[in-house]
Amino acid sequence: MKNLHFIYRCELTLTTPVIEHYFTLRIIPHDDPSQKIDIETVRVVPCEKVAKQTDGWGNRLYVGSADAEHDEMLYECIGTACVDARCGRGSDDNPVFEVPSPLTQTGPTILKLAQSSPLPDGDCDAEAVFADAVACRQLVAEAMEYTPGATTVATDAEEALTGGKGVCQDYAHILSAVLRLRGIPARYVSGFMLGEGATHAWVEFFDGTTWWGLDPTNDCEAGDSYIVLARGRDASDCPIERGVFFGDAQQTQSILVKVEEADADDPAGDAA
Amino acid sequence: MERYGVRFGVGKDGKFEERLFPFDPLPRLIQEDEWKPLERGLVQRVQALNCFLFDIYTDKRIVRDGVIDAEFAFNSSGYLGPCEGIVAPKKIMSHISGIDLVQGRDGTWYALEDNLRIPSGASYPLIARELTRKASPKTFRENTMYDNRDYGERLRKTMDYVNCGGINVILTPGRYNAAFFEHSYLSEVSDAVLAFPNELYVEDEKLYFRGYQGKAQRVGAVYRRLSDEYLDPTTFLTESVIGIPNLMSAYRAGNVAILNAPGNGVADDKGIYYHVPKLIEYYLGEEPILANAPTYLAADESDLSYILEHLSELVIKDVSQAGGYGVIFGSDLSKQHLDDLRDLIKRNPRRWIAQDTIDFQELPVLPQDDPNEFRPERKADLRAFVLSGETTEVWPSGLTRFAREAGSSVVNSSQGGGFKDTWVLLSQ
Repeated sequence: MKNLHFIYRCELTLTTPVIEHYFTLRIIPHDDPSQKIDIETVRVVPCEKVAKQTDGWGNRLYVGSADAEHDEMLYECIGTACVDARCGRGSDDNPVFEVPSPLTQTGPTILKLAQSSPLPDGDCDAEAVFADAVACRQLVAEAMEYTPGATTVATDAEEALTGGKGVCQDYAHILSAVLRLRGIPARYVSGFMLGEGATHAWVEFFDGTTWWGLDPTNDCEAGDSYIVLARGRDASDCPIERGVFFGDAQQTQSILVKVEEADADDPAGDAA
Repeated sequence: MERYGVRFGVGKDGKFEERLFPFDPLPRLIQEDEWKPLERGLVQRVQALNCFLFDIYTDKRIVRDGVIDAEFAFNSSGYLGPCEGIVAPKKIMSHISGIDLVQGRDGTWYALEDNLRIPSGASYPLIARELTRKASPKTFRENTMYDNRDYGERLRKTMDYVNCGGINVILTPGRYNAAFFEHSYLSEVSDAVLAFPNELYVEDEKLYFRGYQGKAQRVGAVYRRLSDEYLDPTTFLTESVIGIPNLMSAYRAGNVAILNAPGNGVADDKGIYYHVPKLIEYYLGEEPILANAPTYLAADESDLSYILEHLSELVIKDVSQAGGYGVIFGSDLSKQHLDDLRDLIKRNPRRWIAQDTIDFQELPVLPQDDPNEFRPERKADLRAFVLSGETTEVWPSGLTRFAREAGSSVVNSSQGGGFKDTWVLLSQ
């Protein structure tokens, strides 16, 4: 179990002022038994109207608009997460996660990788599924070389694996595709991990009763250092930020993600 | 017709052109005793499809019970992740369904395609009836048929039933849309406000119409005539400039009904078509009344060998393609092309279904291009409109489309085909 203090902050700078800026954000982490969330701040500036909703995957949405003229926008979510991944990441199954999705379609390269290790024989109990999922994670980690810039957000699993280079999103897509082909339900996860940098992506698989996190990029289990922001079939279901505005402006984004272990006596950490 | 602007738009070579939709004044006649079973079959079919759509985005019983493969349901381009879990107002997903039918030479009606997204065409027989009644009142005094001029009223009731508080609007992408005539005509007859995308906006999980004097009005039901991917740029395609940002938030919150529900493409997928008889049995516990065209699923092994053997007699459809695209007539292909197609099907059987070619009935038409053609006949289909509100009802009329050329089975308006009114005659 870990107490984590997290900061997610995104600053948009627009080249000229815009109006009627609408956004749908997934910046508030899931609050469930595996990660109890205490929010200190969640806000969008400027913003006149905002609503909190939950999408069909259980992701928390922050939906609203800023109508008045502005050339900057900030959105942030700060809080603490008490993460206890030992008991798993939920137990609600959904047959959607058994089959390929838009970005995890089966192609020859994916198929070859999925068939490169023998399927476990006999009864697939939870333990066997777990071992198989870990083996798949290792296969993906070995097949890929971490290379930013080699792929885009629209690159699908087959394309990324064929190129052999990519980032966490690609690793997670490939592992999801491989697991699903081997009969293991898998879902894509985006979120934060301990440290500083950008948002991260990994995978959860279902062992028949429970979901477990696997991080193929770092070739390890996604345990107590991982905070789940959004889940879905693939990255297209969990965009962190979607916005449109009225105005002829270019936008630049600066994103800060910082996760630190919070002092046990002071769960709020150094939120200054 | 010209004066009323009964047109449809065709985008060709980068230019937008509106064409008159050729009208043939000889109506398609359906006797009441023939209509009744057809009507029951259509109601049953649409009820089952509505159950399926609602189920697939919520409980997914049909997949969990093993009746439909998860692959068929969810690995389809029509299944939309953002619609997952949303409970549509009154649980109705397909409010206006356009079921395409053909009648075989033996008189059997077959459902060929279910259009559950934004089926168009109801306005054409509607205005045709209006004008022919004026042109020949005597014909209508001497023949008794269902009056189809209540379509607007039916549409209004359908919208009212799911309305979540506020006015009804018909959302048109604009006058360059192929069906713009229909959007404006239907808004007129259904008392809904015709709205362009920039006239609607979302605030606090509610949809508003800007109004003519800057006084916003709450919208409770939107009959949108633009496709899912353009509907909401903060959910679907970001680059859509004709969508309404955050519309899905109002829908998710249950503050507006969207007709038809986004995500319906999952049920008018050609792969699901094959399963419709099973859907009827599963959800309604009934025997299907209306026949499907005999269909073979390449993913099924015994069907596959039948398809490969009889390829030249079949119609082959690519399930990943929508509308009239990806439809191949085996009889049109050379031996080489048939072999190539066999390879394609064997390589990815899930992508293909095949149907027997139905030799469908021809209807008399007035002479077309050649004024001397003696008693010309053309192949014709029928798009029946089924409205689902408090009850599911079939509009006793429909759009009959006929092929331009004698012998041709292509009835698409973009290929020069024309339309007829459809009369359902009352038995004396």
